[in-house]
Amino acid sequence: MHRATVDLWVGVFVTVGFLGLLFLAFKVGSASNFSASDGYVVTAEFDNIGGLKVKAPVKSAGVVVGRVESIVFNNHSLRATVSMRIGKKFEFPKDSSVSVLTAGLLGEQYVGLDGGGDIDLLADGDKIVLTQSAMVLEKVIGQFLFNKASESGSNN
Amino acid sequence: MVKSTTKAIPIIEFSSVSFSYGDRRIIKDVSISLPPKKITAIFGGSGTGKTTFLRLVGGQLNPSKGDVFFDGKSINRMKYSDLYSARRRMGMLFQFGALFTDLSVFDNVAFPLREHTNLPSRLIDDLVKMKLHAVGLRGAASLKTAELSGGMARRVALARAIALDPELIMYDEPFTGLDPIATSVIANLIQKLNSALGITSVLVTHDVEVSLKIVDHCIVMAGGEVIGQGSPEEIRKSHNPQIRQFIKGEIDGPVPLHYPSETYEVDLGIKHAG
Amino acid sequence: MRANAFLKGFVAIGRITVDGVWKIGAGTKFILNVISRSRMTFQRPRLLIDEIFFTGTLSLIIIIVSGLFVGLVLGLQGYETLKRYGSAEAVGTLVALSLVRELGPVVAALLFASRAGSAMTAKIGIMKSTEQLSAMQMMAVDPYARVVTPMFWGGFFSMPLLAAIFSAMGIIGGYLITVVVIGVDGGAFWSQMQANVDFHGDILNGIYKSIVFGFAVNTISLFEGFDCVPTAEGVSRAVTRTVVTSALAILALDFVLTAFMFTGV
Ligand SMILES: Nc1ncnc2c1ncn2[C@@H]1O[C@H](COP(=O)(O)OP(=O)(O)OP(=O)(O)O)[C@@H](O)[C@H]1O
Ligand SMILES: [Mg+2]
Repeated sequence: MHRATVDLWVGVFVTVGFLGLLFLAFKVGSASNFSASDGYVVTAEFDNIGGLKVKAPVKSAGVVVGRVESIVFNNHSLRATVSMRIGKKFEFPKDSSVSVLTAGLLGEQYVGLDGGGDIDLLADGDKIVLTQSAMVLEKVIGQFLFNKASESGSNN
Repeated sequence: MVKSTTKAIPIIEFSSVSFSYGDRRIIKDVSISLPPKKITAIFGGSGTGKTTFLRLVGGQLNPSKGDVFFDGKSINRMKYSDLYSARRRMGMLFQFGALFTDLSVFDNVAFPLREHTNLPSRLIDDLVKMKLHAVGLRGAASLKTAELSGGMARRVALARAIALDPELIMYDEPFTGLDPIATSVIANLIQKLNSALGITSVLVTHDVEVSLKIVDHCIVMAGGEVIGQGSPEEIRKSHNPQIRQFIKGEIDGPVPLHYPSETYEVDLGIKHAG
Repeated sequence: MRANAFLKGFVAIGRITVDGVWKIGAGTKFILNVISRSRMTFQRPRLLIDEIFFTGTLSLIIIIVSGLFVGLVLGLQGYETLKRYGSAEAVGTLVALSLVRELGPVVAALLFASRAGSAMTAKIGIMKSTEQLSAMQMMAVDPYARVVTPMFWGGFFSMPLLAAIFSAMGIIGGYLITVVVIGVDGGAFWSQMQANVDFHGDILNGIYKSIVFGFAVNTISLFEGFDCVPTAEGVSRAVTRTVVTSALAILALDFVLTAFMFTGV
């Protein structure tokens, strides 16, 4: 085979390969939204994070704006400290609140971020004070049954 | 030990070299030296270790004992880089050609030139044509190696072996499978290369008649040992029955072709042992 | 009788162990040798380009076609299952994660081993058995640097690209069957996928996997070729060993890598 033909086909192969990589990176993955080193980190303390995992999405108004970077147990407050990396292009007021939510009834858990009304914006290293813990299904069901029981108890 | 007196002329010298494949001893304590700028033939039956001998010279095998000297330096004790520069001064014609099957005839001959020189492609073109012309295959330059006959492949391999104008050429069975004309062409070529360019040649062959005409020195091997050496005249006139048998092509003689056994007739039951 | 059979069993185990240990040692030495002679490959890009052609371009068709079909099947099966739970849109996520994390690197590497790996073994084996490697040595050309190392790097660069192409084609296949044919909402297909496929955690890890697989397959293929018994039968056995050993190595490595990459961070 001629040199030029070989070169041409190698060129085709390499181009297709890199197109595949780009396709995976931008169309399939979320590299377009933010990457791990891009953005700022904020922390929040929760009484209970339920089944939240590292890398779980942080969503605001349903849009993925960041990911959970680490979850550690705070020995002093006996609460869970969650750090989240928020994409650089997303801006939130300082008094925003976060809650651990579940997608659907049994879906994976994520952090919901609701904007507040402050003029100052959240910056790298800030701590979000307003938090709402995860709804733990067993507790909810337990409470429900307890209420029912006490209801029927009072009825009799 | 005789060292070469004139400098820069390669000489091969075996000093009590032994070689074995596993437990089988192939070369047994051989000490010889090959005269520079001469054609030396190594005769010997099939399987006596002639190819092994050439591989020892090329440093592809290492002797289990002794040293192989090339130009006064021990091939088997050389550094890797020195061995490679020594090999650049050698050419080897392999018994089965060993052409690169994915390259054309032209590219095969051009291979050593392209690997070792930075010559412009015009010049490489000319050099390759010259080498191919020397073996009578200039017209076959564009053929694939699969399209060659055995004899043609051998000649292409020869053209490749001389591409870098080596100082030492080793021919492993250059005549087998060639027609009488091609045989004379190659024999002539070996002679010409030797006299015109002052190349030292080693010829491993079964073809006693043709080679006795062109060589200057003969070494006869049997069973991994050298059983005699000398000029073609001396070999022809040798009284050593082993050598006589080999030269004359007698089927059975002092060199036992067959393992010791009852006579053939007895084995086949034609005659009774008695 | 019994004792004899037992003894034979032990001998067999012993032989396999010794052979295995020898192979690992010799293979390691071999690959270090190959890599340490990389200079010529990068000084003469021609050599590398030819090998990328040999290992990559020639594997392109089989990778594209297989990727597409695997994606079609994944999409169909995934849709059938997810539909029951009312989350058919998640099929995009399912297809993408399966391909990017596992099937892309693994299946592409298996195909690569049987297409390019076996060809590398055969090529080296034939060059050895017809004394082409010896001839090269006698021409003072190092067969490692000239033949083996370029093949190694050619395969090394081809493998991740092939895996990426396989995954991409698979996802396109999944898209075709679920969105175009079945009628799942296209927007949901892509957005769910994008929300759940992480560039670092999933895509890059998949690419790292394919790099490791490429390294393993290349090492095995070239070593088997170099180590083969130099006869026609020896070469054919070496080719078989390449495919079998590569497949086992890919699956075992995949398990190890998955355990490291995708569980509890
Ligand atoms: N790789 C090997 N492993 C084991 N034994 C070998 C090997 N190569 C050659 N031999 C043995 O070494 C002996 C010498 O082989 P060699 O090839 O040197 O013979 P030769 O004299 O060239 O024969 P011929 O004239 O047939 O070419 C033979 O008996 C052969 O069986
Ligand atoms: Mg021989």
